[in-house]
Amino acid sequence: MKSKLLLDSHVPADLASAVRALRPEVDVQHVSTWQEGAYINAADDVLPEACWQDNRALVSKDRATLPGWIALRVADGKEHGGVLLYDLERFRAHQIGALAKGIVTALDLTKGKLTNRWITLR
Amino acid sequence: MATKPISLRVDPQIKVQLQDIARRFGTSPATLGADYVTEGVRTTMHPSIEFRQTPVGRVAYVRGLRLPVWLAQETVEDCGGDAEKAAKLLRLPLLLLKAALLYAKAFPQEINAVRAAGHRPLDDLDRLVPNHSFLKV
Repeated sequence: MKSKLLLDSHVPADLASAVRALRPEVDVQHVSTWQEGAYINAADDVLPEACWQDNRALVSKDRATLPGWIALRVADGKEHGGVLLYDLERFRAHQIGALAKGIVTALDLTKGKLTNRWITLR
Repeated sequence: MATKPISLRVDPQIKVQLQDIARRFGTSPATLGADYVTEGVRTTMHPSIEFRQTPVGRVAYVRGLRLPVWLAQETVEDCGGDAEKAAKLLRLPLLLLKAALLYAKAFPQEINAVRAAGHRPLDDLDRLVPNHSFLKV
């Protein structure tokens, strides 16, 4: 099955093309353009649901609120499309190439199966 | 921070709704009402900001986007203070980003508090998130 990723708004949009350059088969979208920008201002509990419906993992570095949102979702008996969280101290905003390689490594190791998994890249 | 009391009169239905929301958020109607007034004043002064309820409390976001102010500020810092470069990375209008930075400068304690949550030890995730694993890359 084709891996699908969604980059959250704080993730550099150019990461999408960097991942595609390494793995053209990966469907990677930025939230600013995904589904014609319908989720550009989505609430934090809405986006994981949209990702789940689309079988898409969320790429984020927000460790302030995302753990809580996923925990609440799990508490409601819901599943999620997967999370790839990266360490904001390890990957600075401009280090797009290194982050793309990290994401591809995660996809290779998991064979793209990220549903209900949370992988933290460090 | 020292606070001062003010007296407000609201529609009875609003009072009931405020009490309901406060109960849901685990706080008092007075505290929540004060938060709403504070946010109303701040968003009037800084219209490029909006507040969202999150698992770590009310958090300032760049208006119309899923972008917390603290992460906008960090992106600029990652770019060595170059707001233009950060705006390009985030595909954000430069002036909107600069407006978010002004808010962060005006309310550093608020922004630093959520920022501290954003820098919590990574090992905490093992205790918070089911099916969590680390990948060293």
